[in-house]
Amino acid sequence: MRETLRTRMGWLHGWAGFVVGLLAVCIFMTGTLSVFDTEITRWMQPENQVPAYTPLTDTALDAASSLIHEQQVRGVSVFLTLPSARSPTLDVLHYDGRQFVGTLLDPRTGMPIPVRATMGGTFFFSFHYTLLEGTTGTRIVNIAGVILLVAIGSGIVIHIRALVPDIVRLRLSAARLRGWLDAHLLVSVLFLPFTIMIIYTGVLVNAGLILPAIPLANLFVHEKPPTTPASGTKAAPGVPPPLPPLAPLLATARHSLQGRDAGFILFSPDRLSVYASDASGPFLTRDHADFRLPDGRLLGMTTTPGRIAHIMQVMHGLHYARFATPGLRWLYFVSGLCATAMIGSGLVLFLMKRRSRSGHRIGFRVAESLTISTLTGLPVSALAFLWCNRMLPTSMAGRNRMEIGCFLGAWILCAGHASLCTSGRRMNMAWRPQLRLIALLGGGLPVLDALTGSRAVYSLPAIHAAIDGTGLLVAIIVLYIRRRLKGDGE
Amino acid sequence: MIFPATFLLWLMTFSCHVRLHPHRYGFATLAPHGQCMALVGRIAAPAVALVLAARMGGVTGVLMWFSSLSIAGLCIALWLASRRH
Repeated sequence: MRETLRTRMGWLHGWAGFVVGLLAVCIFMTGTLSVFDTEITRWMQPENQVPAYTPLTDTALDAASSLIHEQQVRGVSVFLTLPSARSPTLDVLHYDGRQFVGTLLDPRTGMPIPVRATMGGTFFFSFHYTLLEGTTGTRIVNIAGVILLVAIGSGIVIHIRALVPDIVRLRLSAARLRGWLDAHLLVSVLFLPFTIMIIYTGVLVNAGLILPAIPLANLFVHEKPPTTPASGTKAAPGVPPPLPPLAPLLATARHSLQGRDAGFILFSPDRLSVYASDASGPFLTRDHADFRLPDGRLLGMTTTPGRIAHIMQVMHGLHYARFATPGLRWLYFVSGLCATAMIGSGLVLFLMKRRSRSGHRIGFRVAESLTISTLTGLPVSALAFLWCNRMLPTSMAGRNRMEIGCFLGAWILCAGHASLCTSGRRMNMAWRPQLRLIALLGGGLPVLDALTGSRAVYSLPAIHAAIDGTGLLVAIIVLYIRRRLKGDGE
Repeated sequence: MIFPATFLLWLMTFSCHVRLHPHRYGFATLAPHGQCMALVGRIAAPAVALVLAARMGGVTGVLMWFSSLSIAGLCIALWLASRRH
C-alpha cells in the first residue's frame, strides 16, 4: 500500500493518542472537576454554611489580624484569603507541605468555623497538574500536553476533508465501530477550539519546567557558587509587631488596584501586600499594593507591564477560568467533559480496531485493562473519594490522608478487577460491573448528602443540588451506556 | 440572555448546514431558492452570534461564542441521530 500523508498521520494519531490518552483522560477528568474545586470543598465541609455574598465586617478583619499575629509569633508563615462570591469565609492559611490548611473565620463575626479536615476539591486540582508527583508530575503533564497537541494536529490532517461537511454527523444505528468513530469525530471537531485552547494554555502555564528560559548570555557564564551571608548580618528574628487595622488598608488597596477587589494578603516581617483578586478579570495578574509594617503606610504598587506579560496573564486567566461567571464555568465543565469523552472514545476505537488482529496478545490485554481502569476506574475512585469524606468520622485524625488512600485504593481495586476480567474476546466482562458501580455511587450521592449533611443542603441548596444532581446525571448516563453494551460485543 | 440567543443562532446555522448537505444527513434536496436562503443563514447567523457575544467583553464573548457552537452542534447531532434511529 502506498504510504500517503494521511496513513502516516493515522499511525501517529493512533499511537501518540493512545499512549498519552490514558494519562490525558486522568488530566482532563480531574481538570474538569477542578472547575468547581471551591464548590466541591464546600460540599465536603458541610459544617461551613456561610451564604455567598455575606458582607465582611471590621470585627472579622480584626479577629483575623489577631489570629495572624498569634501564628506569626509561633513562627508560622500565614496568609489571609479574603471572602469572594465562591468562598465567603475569611481564611487564615499556611502551607503544610502538601496543601493549604488553616482556620476559616465567619466574615460577620470573625468566629472560627469548626470544619472537618478534608483534601476538598483542591485534591482534584493538584492531581490535575502534578499527578500527585510534585514537579516531576507537572513536567510529565506538560510533555503529555505537547504530545496531545501533536495527536490533535495529526487528527485534523486525517479528517480535514470531512471536517466541515460531517461536523454534526452521528450514526448510532450503523455498525458499532462506525458509531464510535462518529462519536469520536463529533466531540473532537465540535469541541476542537476549547480543546486546543485548554491544552495550549495549560502547556504554556508551566512551560518553564520543560523549556526553561535561560538567556543566551548566561549559557557562557560560569555559575558562581552561592554566597553565604556573613554571620551576624542576618537580622535576629524578633517578635513581629501587631498588624495595623486591615479595613482601611483594603480600601486604599482597592483604590490603588483601579477598583479591583482584593483577593488575598501576604505578610512579611516589614510589609504586607494586598493582591488583586483572580476573579476580577480574564487577565490573571499578581498586581499588588504594598504597605509598610507596623504603621500601614502605602509603599506603592507592583504591576507587571509589557505586552508579553499581558499575553501570559490572559493565557493563565483562560486556563484557570477564575474570572468566569457561574454560567461560563458550567460551559467550561461541559466542554471539559466532552474533551474527556473525545480522548476516551479514541482509546476505545484504538482497541476495537486492533481486537480482531491482536486480541489474543498479552500487550493488547494490558492495554485494554489500562483503558478500562482509566475510563471507569477513575470515576469510581473520584466518587469513592466523595463518599469517604462523608463516611469517615469528622474528628478522625489524618482523615484527609484517608481520603486520598480511599481514592487510590478504589482505583487500584478497579485496575485489578479490569486486569482479571479482561480477556481478548470479552471486553464487556470488565466494563459492566464497573459501570454499575459508578451508577451506584453517583446515584447514591444525593441520598448520602441528605443523610449526612441535611442542614447544609438547606442552607446552600445551589451547591448541593449541582453536585448531587451531577452525580445522579452521571448515574443515568452510565446506566444507558451499560444497557447499550448488552452481550459481549466485539 | 446572551447565551440562549447565541445558542439559538448556532442551532439555526447547523440546521442550514444540514439542509445544504441533504444526502449526507438524509433530507430531501432543497430548491435553488431554498439553498440560497440556507447559505445566507449559515453565514449570517454565526456573524450575528459573534456580535451578540462580543457585547459580553472580548475574552468572555469569544469563549461564549465557541461554547455555544459546540453545544448547539452536539444538540443537532443528537437530534439527527435519534431521528434516524
